[in-house]
Amino acid sequence: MDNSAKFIGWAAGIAVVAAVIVFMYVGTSTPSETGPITIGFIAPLTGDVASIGSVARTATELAVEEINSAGGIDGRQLNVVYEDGQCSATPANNAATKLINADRVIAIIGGVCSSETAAFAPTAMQNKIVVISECSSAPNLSKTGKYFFRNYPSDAYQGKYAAEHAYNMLGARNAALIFHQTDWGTGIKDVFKQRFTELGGNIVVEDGSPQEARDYRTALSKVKVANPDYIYAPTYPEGGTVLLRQIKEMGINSKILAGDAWSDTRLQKDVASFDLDILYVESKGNVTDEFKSKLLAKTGGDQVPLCAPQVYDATYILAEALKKAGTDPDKLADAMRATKYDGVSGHIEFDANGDMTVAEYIVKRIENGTAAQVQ
Amino acid sequence: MEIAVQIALNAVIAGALYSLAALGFNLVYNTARFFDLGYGAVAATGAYAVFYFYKTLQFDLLSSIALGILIAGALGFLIEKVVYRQLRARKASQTVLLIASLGVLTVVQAIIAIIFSSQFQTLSRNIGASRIYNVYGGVMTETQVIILCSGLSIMTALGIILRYTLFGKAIKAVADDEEVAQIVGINSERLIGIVFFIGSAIGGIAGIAVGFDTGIQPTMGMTLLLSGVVAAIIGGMGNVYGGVIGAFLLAAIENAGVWYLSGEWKAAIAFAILILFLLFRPQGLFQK
Amino acid sequence: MEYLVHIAVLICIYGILGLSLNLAVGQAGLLSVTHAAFYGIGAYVVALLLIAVGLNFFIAVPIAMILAGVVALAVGVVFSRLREVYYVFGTLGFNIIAYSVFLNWDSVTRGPLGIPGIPRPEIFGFRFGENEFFLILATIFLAITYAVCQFVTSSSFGRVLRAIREDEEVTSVFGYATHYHKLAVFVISGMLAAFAGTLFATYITFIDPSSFNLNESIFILAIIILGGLASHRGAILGAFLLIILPEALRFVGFPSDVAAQMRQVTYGLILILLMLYRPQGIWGEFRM
Repeated sequence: MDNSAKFIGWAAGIAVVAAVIVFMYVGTSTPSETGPITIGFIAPLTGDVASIGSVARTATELAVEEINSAGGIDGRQLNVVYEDGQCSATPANNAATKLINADRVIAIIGGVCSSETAAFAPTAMQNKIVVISECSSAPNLSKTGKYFFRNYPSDAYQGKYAAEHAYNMLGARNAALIFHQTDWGTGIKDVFKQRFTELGGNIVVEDGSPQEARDYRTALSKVKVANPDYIYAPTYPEGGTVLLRQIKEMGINSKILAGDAWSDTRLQKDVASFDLDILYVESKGNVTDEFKSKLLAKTGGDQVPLCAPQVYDATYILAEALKKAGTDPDKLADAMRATKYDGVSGHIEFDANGDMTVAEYIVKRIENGTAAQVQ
Repeated sequence: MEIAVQIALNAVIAGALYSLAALGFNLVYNTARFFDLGYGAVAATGAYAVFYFYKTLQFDLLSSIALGILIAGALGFLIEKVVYRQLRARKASQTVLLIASLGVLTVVQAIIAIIFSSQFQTLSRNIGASRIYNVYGGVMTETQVIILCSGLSIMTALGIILRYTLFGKAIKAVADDEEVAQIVGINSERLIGIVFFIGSAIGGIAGIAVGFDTGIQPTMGMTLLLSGVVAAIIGGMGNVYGGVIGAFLLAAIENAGVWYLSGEWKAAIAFAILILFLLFRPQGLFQK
Repeated sequence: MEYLVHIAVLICIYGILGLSLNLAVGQAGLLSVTHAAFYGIGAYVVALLLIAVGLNFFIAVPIAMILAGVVALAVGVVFSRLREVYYVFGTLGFNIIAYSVFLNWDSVTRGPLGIPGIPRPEIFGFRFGENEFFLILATIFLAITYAVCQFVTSSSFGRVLRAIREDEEVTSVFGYATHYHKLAVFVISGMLAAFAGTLFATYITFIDPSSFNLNESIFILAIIILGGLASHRGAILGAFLLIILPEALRFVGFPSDVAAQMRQVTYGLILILLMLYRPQGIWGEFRM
């Protein structure tokens, strides 16, 4: 091949390696006894789940600002390095490796998607890095390790609660399942289906679609024919808004029960004029108006999506544990495990696996542009 | 029986959107002879432009849409001038142009995400207000009817222009053999620029349509584009009417698939159809 | 240091992927956009064999490769008649179908929940638990792949392939069964992509469908376009650059959500600039 090609190739390679070394040297921090405490944050900041990830980031920033202005961790400021997990295994793993080895974080908040968390948690455990996930719901994460915590209950709880509530309290006997094919959506749907049929209920339609799907009309046609008592719809807010609109347009009379993803304020506002019977299950939390307005002021938008209250609490929980135990991983993990915290996402305590001990749920009705607790 | 009508309508609604995607895409392919993935980029740009003017700046509906279409067209024109013209002058192969257009799509999508954030947005100000028409027991909204009518009118207009006007004949000449067309005095560069403008404007309309029907997000271009490409290929690449028919056919089979199987297989079905056509009837339903 | 080891492992894995795709694209001109599917098959088969059956990694790998080879054979046969851009879209369609299978076949792949807890490779009691040891294994795998590719290209088989790439009709006129040659190289290519998948599954110890979608195939294509088509060293160079670049960008100091989009912008710009100014890639010997 010609000489210019060889030169370009080698030059590019060497330039990149040099850049990496320079930046790593400049960008790497060494942990010290004074000075800021560095923790990492991994969430999807790009891609289809970016709307959840970027607000999670803002909520974390909010918590960090508040913690730091209240004196930080015994005078040491909290410093967070934010990385993009892209809701995908390899990027999340890369992000974590960089955080652990280059930034020398002592803990990581994240991931949002279970695929992110599952991809980097093993490495984090090996390196004795405390991980607290605010939103990963896959049941198998319970087996991750002693440094792993999550303040979001596994799918197993919400699906079960929804099924029992639908059957026992709402009197539903036939249900249609319209869900999004993600770890959260599929996971909850599977548990709901199992419990609902166990109780004696009947699933008349089961139709999933990718999270980005915006055309539910034919799936809804199936629902219209089957005419179930309830549609159980664990879907994300974007798709959920469109789904509700299409339900309305098609004149479907079934009532709707959904998952905690619909605690999103924008969805609730958008569907106000639809006049549909919409209930959704939410963790018994305590999202105060104060938190909402602080967060919305920072995001400049009108969404308080899933995971934002959780990650806000997760940041505080981590900060509290750091105050109690310092940065030693084992002591920090013990302090985390002893957490008893009441935050905007509810009461939080951890069991031996780092899962929440209680997963309490409430049901809310969406009407008049907002949601109110029903029971 | 009612439900069969509804499913048919679902296919019509989806088909109308796909046909808008296919129309502009086909026009560009017709003339410049390559698959322009950047089409997805201009569709998203049109939709976001309308978002900016209509929802952020609170302009009125018609001006916002007009501006959106113009901006989409202008962007397409610009991309042709800056990127594709050089490549075509060098007689770059279709694959090279395809990859370059993929680069364009990636860049534009990312820039939209930087400016507008990745959040999903809706275009309509009053989301529940669309009127509903009952058609033999099935349901269609006003927005969807408008989209369908726009699609059909654009198809007719393009068909007429391409067949009966001098401009249309010039396009055909350039498509057949650009050098000869230049020799007989057609300014092919200017013509292609105009074609890209019009094609991209149609792309903008497609994006805006999707935006009003469901909503917008930065990655919307790729999905719309792929549907348009499949529709165009099965209808017959370059054939304006074919693309529209292909669009409705694609939508029909997709919806039948969702009905009999489930929504989880929708994408697989769409591409299985594409593959079947590529294997057994690569020229599509209608030849050029 | 750990961080560099991690990046090195990824470069090995993507280097193998690049080498595999290069065989198909650079040597035989088969522009496949579906190699992520074979990558995925390798990963899933190994994951399942290791967890469900408890098979040893080094026995599971050939099984995974053979299975991927069978699928590649089917794909190769089905798409053998397609040319140029139509081949691209056909393989693109297959990737989407394969992704749907990974996502929907819950009972086997666990769908979106993925397969966690994949054990690291073990041989004679030695476990490749530490990343440094895994890197040694990955480098060996890369070397094997490189040797295989080198063997294919420098043999007379390779010469026929290049002749086919340049002009298939002429080559077949000379009596070569071009069909079989292309099929053979495609199958080898698919098997090597699966080879990379086996490494990936046991390295990250968790796999889910999102790692094997269309974007991944496009990424692998970008690696060899950048590094240089028909050049084995180019494939590794491309992997090196495209893995290191986004990691380096992390340290530049963009706000991190913009950083991720800037990555996309850079990536798109690289594609455009390459097509405009150096379509054969940095070390390439074949212009598309």
